[in-house]
Amino acid sequence: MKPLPAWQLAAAAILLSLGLVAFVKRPFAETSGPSFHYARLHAAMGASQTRHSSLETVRAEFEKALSLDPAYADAANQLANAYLNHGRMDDATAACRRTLEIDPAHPDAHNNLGLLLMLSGKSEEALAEFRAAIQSRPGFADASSNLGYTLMRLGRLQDGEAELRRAIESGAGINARHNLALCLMAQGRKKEASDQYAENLRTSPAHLASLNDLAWLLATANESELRAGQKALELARQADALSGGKDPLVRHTVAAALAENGQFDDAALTARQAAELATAAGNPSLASMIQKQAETYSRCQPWRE
Amino acid sequence: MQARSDARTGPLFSTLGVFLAAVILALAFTVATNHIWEDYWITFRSAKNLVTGHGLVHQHGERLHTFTSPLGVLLPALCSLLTGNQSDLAALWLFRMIGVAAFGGAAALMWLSVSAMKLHCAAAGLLILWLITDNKSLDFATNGMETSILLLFVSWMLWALFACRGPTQWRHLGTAWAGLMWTRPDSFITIAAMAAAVLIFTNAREGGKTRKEWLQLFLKAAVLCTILYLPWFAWAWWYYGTPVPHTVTAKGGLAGTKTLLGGLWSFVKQPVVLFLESSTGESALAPANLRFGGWPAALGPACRVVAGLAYMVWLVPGVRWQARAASFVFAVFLAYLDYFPAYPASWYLPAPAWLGLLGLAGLVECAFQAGKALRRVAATVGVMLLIMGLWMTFQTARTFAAQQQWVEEGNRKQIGLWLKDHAQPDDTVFMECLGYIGYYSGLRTHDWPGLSSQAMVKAAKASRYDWAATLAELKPTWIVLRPQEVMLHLHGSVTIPGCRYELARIFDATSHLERLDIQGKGFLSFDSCFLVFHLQKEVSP
Repeated sequence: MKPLPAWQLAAAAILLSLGLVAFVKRPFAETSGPSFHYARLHAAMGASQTRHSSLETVRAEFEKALSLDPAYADAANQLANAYLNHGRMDDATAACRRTLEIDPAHPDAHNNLGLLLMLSGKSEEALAEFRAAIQSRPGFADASSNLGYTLMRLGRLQDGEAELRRAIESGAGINARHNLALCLMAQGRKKEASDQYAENLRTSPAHLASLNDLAWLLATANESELRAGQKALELARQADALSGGKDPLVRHTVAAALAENGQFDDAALTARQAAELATAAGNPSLASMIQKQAETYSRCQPWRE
Repeated sequence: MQARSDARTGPLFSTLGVFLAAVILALAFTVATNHIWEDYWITFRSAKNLVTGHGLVHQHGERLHTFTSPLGVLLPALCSLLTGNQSDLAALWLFRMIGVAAFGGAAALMWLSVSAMKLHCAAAGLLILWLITDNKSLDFATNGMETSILLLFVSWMLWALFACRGPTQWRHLGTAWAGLMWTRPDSFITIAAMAAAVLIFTNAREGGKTRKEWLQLFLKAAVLCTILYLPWFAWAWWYYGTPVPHTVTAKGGLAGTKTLLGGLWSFVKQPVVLFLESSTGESALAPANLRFGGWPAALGPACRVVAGLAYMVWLVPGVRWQARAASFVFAVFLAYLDYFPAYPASWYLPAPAWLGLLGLAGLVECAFQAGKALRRVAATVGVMLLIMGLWMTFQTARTFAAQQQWVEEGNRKQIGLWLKDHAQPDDTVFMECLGYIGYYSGLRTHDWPGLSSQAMVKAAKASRYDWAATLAELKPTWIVLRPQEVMLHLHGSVTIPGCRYELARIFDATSHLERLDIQGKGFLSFDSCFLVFHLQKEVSP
C-alpha cells in the first residue's frame, strides 16, 4: 500500500484547524425565526415557578415563550393555568381564548375555558367547550368528568350519569366517581351511590369528600337497610381528623353519626359547634340548617332524609 | 497470504503524518471550544482529594467509588500533583495534552494496522480521515474525559491482533487489554467480543491464524491482562469494600434489572432498531446529544444509515475478515449500550464508532475491488461521509464553544461558586448535574441518581425513584433544579412533605442563547436555566 503523504496530511490538518478555529470564533448571528427549544424552556420556567414566584414573573416567562414561538399554543394554555391558580378568572379566560386563536382544537384550552364558563354560571356555553375538548381528544377523561358534572348541575341527571361513567372508564380520577355518586344520590339511588363512595375510599382512603358523604348517607338514610351507625361514626371521625375539626360540614356529619348511635347529647353539642363554625365561615344558611338538626338531636331524634 | 513481520514497523513517515494531523486537529478543537465536559469535575474532585491527602473519595470521609475509569481519575491526579495542586486549569491542560497525545497515538496505531493489513489505499485514507475528523472523538480527546485513552487501547488491541506478529504479539495484546480495563472496567465486554469475532472470522490465508493458535494467544494475553489489572481490582475491593464502581450501582438502579437474554435480544433486534429508532447506532456517529434536538431533521436518519451499513459488514462474506470482526464488535457494542446502561453516554461512543468505521472501510475496499461503477459509488459515498463528518465537527465545535462560555462558565460554575459563598460548611446540595456545581461548591452532594452519595441511592431505591419522596427522606439544604425537572419529576412545584423550600435564586443564561443562530440548541437549552431552592425549616407532615 502506498504511504500517505505525511507532510501534506499535516499541512491539510493545519489548514483545517485554522478554518475550524476561525469558524468557531466568528461572532454569533441572531436568528429571526422561531426558537422552539427556548420557547419550551421559557414555558417550563414559567410553569415551574407558578407556586414559587410572583404572577408577573411567571407571566413574563410565558410571554417570552410566545414571543420566541408565536404558534406555541401550550404556552398560552399554561399561562391560563397560572392565572387560574392565582384566581384571576378574567385573565385566565382571555388566555384560554388566546390559546384557541393559535390552535382552535386545543383540548386543554377548551376544557379550561369550559371550567371558567361553568364557574361564571354560563353552563350551556361550558357544555359546548367540554364537548369540543372531547372531540379534539377522544377519551379526554377530565373533560368528560367536567361535562358530566355540568349536566348534573343543569338537572340532566341521566345524561350526566352516562358522561360521568364514560369519564371513569376513560381513567378519570376520584372526583369523577364522587360526582357520579352525587348524581346517583340526586336520583335517589342511594345504594349505588354508597357503592361508588366505597369504591373511592378503597382506592383513596383519605378522600375527604367521599368519607364525609358516605358517613352522612350511612347515618341519615331513611332506608334502615342502608344505615350503619358505627361505620358512619368511624368514617366521620376520620374525615374530621383530616380536616382538623374545622370543617362545619364534616362536624355536622359527626353529629349525625353520633345521633344515629344514640349519643344525642354529644350530637347536639357537636352540631352547635358545627353551626358556629359555619357562622364564622360566613355561611349563615348552613349554620341555620345545622342548628335545626341540633334541635332534633336535643329531642333525642336522629336526622333522616 | 501471511503478513510479513516487517509490518510491525510499517510506513513510519506516514504514521508520523497521521499522528501529527490528529494532534493538530485535537488541539485546534480544544483551542476553539475550550470545552470541559461536566463529568470531568466529578472525577477531578476525587483526584484532587487524593493528592491533597484526603483519599480517593468525592466527599471527605466517605469511601465511595465515585468514578468509573481508574485512569480517568489517576491521570488527572498526577497532573494536579505535577502542577503542585496550585492550578486546576494547569492540571486540566496537562491532562488535555495526555489526551491529545493518546488521540494521535490511536490514529497512528490504526494507520499502522490498516497498512499492515494492506487495506486498499483509498479505503485506508478515507478511514483515517473519518476517524481524525470525527466530532466526538475530537471533543472527548480534550474535554477532560478518558475517551482518547480508550481509543488508544482499542487501536493498540487492533494493531496487536491485525498487524503485530512474532513472539511479542501476546504481550501487546495483553497490555492493550489491561489498558482497556484500566480505562473502563466494563471493557471485558469489548475484549470478549473482539476475541469471539477473531475466532469466528479469522482467515489464515489473509494474515490470520488458525483458531487453535488464536486461542493459545488469547490465553497468554488474558493471563497478562489479569496480572496487570489485578492490582487495581484488589486495591479497589480493599479500599471501597467492593470492586464494583458506585457509579455502576447508582445508574444500575435506574436501568432496572438486566439479563443476558435481554442483551442477546438487544443484539438480535439491532438491525431493525438501528433504522427505525433513535438508538445508540445513530448516536455513535452523530454529534453528542443529537437527541436533545436542534439539528437538521435529516441528520439523524443519515447517521442511522451509515451506522446500519457499518453494522451489516460482519454479515457480508466478501469483506476482509478484520473488517468483519470490527463490524461484529461494533454490533455487540451497540447492543450492549442500547440495553445495559441507563443512558448510552456520549464519551463512550467514539470507541464503537472507530470499530464501525473500520468495518465500513472494509466494505469500501470491497466496492473498490468490484468494478468501476461500484468504485465510483464507494468513492462518492466515502467522500460524502467525510464532508458530513466535517460539517458535524465544525457545527459541534461552535455549539460546544457556546455551551462552555454561557452554560458551563456562565451558569453552572457560577451556581457552584454562589453556593460556596452562601452555604454553611455542613450544608448538603441536591442536583442532577454533579460536575461543575459539586466541584465549585465543595458541598456534600446528594446527586441524582447518587453517583456521589450512598444515601441518595438508598433513598431513591426505597422511594422507587420518586424525586419528591427521595428529597423528603434526604432533606438537602439546597436543591438545584432545571425548570424541566420541576415539571417532569415534581409535578410543577418543589412541595416536599415535611419541608418548606423557597426559591432562593435563578441562574438563567437563556438571554445569551435563545436567539443564537446555531445548531444543537436543544442541548444548549437543556442546561440554560437552573432554579436554586433553599430549605427554610422542617415542618410537620
